Amino acid sequence: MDRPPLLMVSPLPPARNGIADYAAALLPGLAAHYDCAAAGEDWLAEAPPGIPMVDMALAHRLPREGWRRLCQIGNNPGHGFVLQALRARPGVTTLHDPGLLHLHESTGEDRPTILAGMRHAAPGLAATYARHLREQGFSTRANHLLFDLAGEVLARSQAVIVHSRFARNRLRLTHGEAATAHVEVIPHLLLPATLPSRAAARARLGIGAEEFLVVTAGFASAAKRLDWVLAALEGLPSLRWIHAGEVPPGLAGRLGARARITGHLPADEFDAHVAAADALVNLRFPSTGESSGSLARAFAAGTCCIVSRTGAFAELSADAVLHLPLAGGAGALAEALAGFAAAPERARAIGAAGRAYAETEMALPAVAARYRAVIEAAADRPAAAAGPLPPLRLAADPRLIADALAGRSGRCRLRLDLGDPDRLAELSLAPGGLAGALLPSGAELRAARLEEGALLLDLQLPG
Amino acid sequence: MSAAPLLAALLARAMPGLAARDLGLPLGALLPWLPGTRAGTADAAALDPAERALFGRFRQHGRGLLGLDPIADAEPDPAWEAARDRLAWTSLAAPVPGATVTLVAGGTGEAPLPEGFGRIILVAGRDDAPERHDMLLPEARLGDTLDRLCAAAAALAGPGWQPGGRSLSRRQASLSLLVPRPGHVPDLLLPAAALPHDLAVAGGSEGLPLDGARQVRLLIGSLPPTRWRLSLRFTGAEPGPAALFLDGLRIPARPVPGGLVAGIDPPTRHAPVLGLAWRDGAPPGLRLVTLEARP
Repeated sequence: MDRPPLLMVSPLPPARNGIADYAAALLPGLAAHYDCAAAGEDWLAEAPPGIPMVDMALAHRLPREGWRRLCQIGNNPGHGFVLQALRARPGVTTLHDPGLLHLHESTGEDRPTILAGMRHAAPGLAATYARHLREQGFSTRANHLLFDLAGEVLARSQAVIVHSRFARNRLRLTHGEAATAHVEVIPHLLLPATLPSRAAARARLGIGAEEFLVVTAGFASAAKRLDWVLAALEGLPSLRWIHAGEVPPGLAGRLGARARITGHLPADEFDAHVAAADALVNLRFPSTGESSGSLARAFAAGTCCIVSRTGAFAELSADAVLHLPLAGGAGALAEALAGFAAAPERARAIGAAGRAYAETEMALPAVAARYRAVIEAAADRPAAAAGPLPPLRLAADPRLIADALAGRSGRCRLRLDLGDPDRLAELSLAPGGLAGALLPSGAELRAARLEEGALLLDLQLPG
Repeated sequence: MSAAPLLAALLARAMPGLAARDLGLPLGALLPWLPGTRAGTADAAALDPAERALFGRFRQHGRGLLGLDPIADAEPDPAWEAARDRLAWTSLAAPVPGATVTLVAGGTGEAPLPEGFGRIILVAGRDDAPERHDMLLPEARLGDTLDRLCAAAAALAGPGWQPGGRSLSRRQASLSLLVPRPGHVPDLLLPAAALPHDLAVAGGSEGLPLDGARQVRLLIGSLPPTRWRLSLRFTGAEPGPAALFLDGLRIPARPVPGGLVAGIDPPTRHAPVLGLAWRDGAPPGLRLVTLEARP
């Protein structure tokens, strides 16, 4: 059967993020329904066998018509090119983090764009809480909770996939019913990799069979509450703790005194740590509804997962994980770990139930089929039009401007380098004002603003 | 545009010292065949936005491609300004400002001749698939240019070639240069530093410095539709585990001492982009000197 073509726009391994692993795991499932290719910034990224990797800048030259696009986007700078790709051409988007402020900040988005995104989502909040950014140019941690900057992704996507009802509801409450009517929930994926047995993993890592091993995983962001884990384990010195991932320098000293910190690990070593664990502790506070790749790996390994009862984690079956309350989290965690250490078979029972749950809800064929349903339903759905052409950069010289605009029609944006700031005053005071001083006849000035010493003009040209 | 190599040879012989601009992107038919040709587009607004974004990445001799950025276009170009013959290749049926000769790919059709301009209708290429291109130039230069083209055509002609030219009127002339199958498809030797690329450094006579680069794109211009054997020559170091890409997709490449060799089937509707990538960056001191293509 002739399968329609699908382009997955996403980071892929060896990129150091869980979304890259997710995309690599999902592609073989999608290949049952589509003729898949993967596009990214790293041309040597590791797409699964049989799936070609294409330079994102040249993806539009791929042969065949009718390409579906599936973008995988998360809240870190490794996804800047995905956002750009979505801006250039709409598609279906998997939004792994409902909050995208860090992505915007870390990929050099200009301040007006970020402020516009904040106003779009929450005008009232933006007026008050974006003040530091607007007036002093710095962003506070609170901004990351208050402003998700997901409005543009919602508008430019034919459909948006999130991994939890929490994430969908959060988007809906922020952006409204109409803007989120195309948001669908597809559970995270049970990664198809064959994880080693507990015994094999322990042998590989040099961990004794009788030791009780607690593993935390991934980049140690503040929301993962490793401070609570540290507090919980202070009174449990016999438990061994490994953090399988990177730790920011500010936390490394405190954490390193109690835990072994591995730094970023290749996938097979990461899997070995998850499989060797008696308990994977995966806390969140505050949660923005993000999903977790390490949790999916733990399910695959049958490792007991301890999670916060919040956000997307609260939706997991109570049989499949151990939920901890947010209040008194460190104490509850200490109690739970002590109980598991005393009766490890209880942890193993939860791990087995978690694996059974994941094999039902998160298996690759089922997830891929749900993706196909969303992608096909959205194939003819319009998304927001592409943005305006990038501005024409010019000196504020009417002759150059007339030359540049000759033969153009419709909407156009100019970015005029003013050089001397007094030049703006001169132009404004000229007969006919700014438009008369700079623009050829027929060009209608729709908007003007100053930005970093340049004058941005939005024009409507005749024709 | 199979006639491009033939037309390039004709123009180079008829107009020594010619400065050329190929404003025909996304095709770039003339670009590989006339050394020193600057690449660009005559109608950026008509480009697919993705193509426009792609071409916006490239720089040639340290400058952006023509037609994409008015500021870059306005920068002085001494080689162009000093040349007696300044040829612009375009698909738009109008003289290009600043050019002494505009070559309209595909011809000007029914478009009236602009005041003061003459036209030489060129019919060139394979005798079973000739192509029409129209040369627009100041009326006063028509006769002299036709004479030079006719002389060049006669000098180039090999066995079975059919050169011919005649004046049709004060403002119109025609020249034909037809070649038996498989046509005039010569070997191609391109200095790498002369090609549009997306490295931060410009390169020079010693090649294109790749030291530490993880990825580089090169715009080589259109090649006639046949299978080509492509050889990349390096200096300063062996290229090591370099991966080769054509229009964004990896293609098999065989390392040879000092280079890489690959067989390619270039696309016909746009100038192919060649890519080179190294997982850990190009070896220290590595320079790409030439690209050689043989049909």
